[in-house]
Amino acid sequence: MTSRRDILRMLPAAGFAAGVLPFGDCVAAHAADLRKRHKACILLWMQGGPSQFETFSPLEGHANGGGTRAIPTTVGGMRFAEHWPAVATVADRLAVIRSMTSKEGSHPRATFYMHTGYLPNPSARYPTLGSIVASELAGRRGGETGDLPPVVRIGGRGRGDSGAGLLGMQWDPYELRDPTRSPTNTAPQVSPERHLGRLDLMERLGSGFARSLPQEAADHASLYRRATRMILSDDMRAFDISREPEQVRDEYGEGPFAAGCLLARRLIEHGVTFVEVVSNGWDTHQDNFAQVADLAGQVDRPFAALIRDLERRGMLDDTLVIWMGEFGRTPQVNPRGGRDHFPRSFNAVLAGGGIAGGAVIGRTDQAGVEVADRPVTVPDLFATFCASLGIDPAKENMASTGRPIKLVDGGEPVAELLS
Amino acid sequence: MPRVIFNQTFGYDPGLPRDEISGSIPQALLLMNSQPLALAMDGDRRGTLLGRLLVELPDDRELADELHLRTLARHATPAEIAVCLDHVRDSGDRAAAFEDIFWALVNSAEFIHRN
Repeated sequence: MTSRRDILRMLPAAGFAAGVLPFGDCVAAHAADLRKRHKACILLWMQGGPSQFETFSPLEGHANGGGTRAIPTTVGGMRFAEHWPAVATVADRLAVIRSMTSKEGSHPRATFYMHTGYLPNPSARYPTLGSIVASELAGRRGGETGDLPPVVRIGGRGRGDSGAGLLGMQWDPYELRDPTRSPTNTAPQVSPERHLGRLDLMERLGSGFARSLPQEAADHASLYRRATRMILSDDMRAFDISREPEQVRDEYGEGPFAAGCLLARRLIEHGVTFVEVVSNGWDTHQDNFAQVADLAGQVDRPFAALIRDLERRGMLDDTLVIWMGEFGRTPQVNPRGGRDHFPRSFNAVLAGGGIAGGAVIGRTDQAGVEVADRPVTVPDLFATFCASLGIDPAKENMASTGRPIKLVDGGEPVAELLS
Repeated sequence: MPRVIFNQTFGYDPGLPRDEISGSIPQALLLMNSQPLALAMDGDRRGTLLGRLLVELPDDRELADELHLRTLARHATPAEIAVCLDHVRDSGDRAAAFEDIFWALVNSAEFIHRN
């Protein structure tokens, strides 16, 4: 009987054999090497817009702080809101940007903006960050990706989310709602040999269609090749977090976000380039303080565990971790004890990927309203992601309209964070 | 009957633009590797369409053509009939061979494009 490995060799990824590499010193990595050491990115996405004041920019000694206490961290002078005791212990690995600024205050538009670096425009299909990162990093390896989808989004609800756009469907995020269940329809229904025989039969029966609509047929073949590679791969075991030692699972804690963070690390280890883990419910127009305490309780421990775990495994230097949402929340507490949308000044946290830890970038005025020092725009933030991952932000892709679209539209990386 | 199964199993409005439904691995997995569809295409079960057709149409040529009609709403070409007959002969298991053919048609670019 043919081994699974042999079978997978019969299914080369598109571009596997491409001889021309964009960088002379870059040798196409074999899948095994790819797994060992590759640049990657994990986005911890706080859907709804997390309050900067109840997270990593507490406002002490001002009414707008809403009474939220601040706690010390492992970095002198860097204080977090009281809900983040675990993350406070890894503060020396984190860079907190307290001077994010944007003008976009609607959920779908701001979610799109913070995922693509562009405001939505019906005539341009801007790719999402994960698709940009995955396609650019794969490009350096001659187009090679692992067996698993290169971009995975965990726990999202599909609101205002963005896909690969003009980069093409192969870079679309693979959506996984529940990280504790194996992905739907991935348990092989027939033997690998028979499955491959069926694909062969499908191709032979499809030759007439392929002559009339070659592009559709090629897209279809590519999709089936990728789906087959995925379900027949030994790397599928990455999705099973119950394989982790109990001690590690304990460290991450309980709940879907914790499971998502642990799964993210497993996926990166198995060759996935970009994983987004979504925490829902940060749109705290009412009862902000109790709600954020609850949400932070779900995110704090896994966030800290992820940083430690990546570091322990020697993966942190190559893995950029981003914590952010679509905007911040109003300094003034509204009559319902809530905070409303506030893009004018908010925060984001970066770690790993060569980002200098223990750094605070920028600040607001004492009332938490205006950025008072070192404003960081969304393009600046995206340029920083690119710099961390070694991607050229000025690279242009061609839209179907023939208009070139840069990976990032202007912006300057936050140089202080890049070592 | 098959249309009902497939529309149900596809789980999308066939009126969606092609862009929205193709390109997704979950969409492909639903068709190529879901248990409900595997059961629906099982030739050894009397209750399935294929189980019935295997009994009703003892002629391989007719059965191959019927499966093309049911999935692609057109007759099979002579070349396609030849591919199917080759597969049945090589397989040695008529029911299993037609399961493969049914699978190949349901997963074909033409079937997906039509939907």
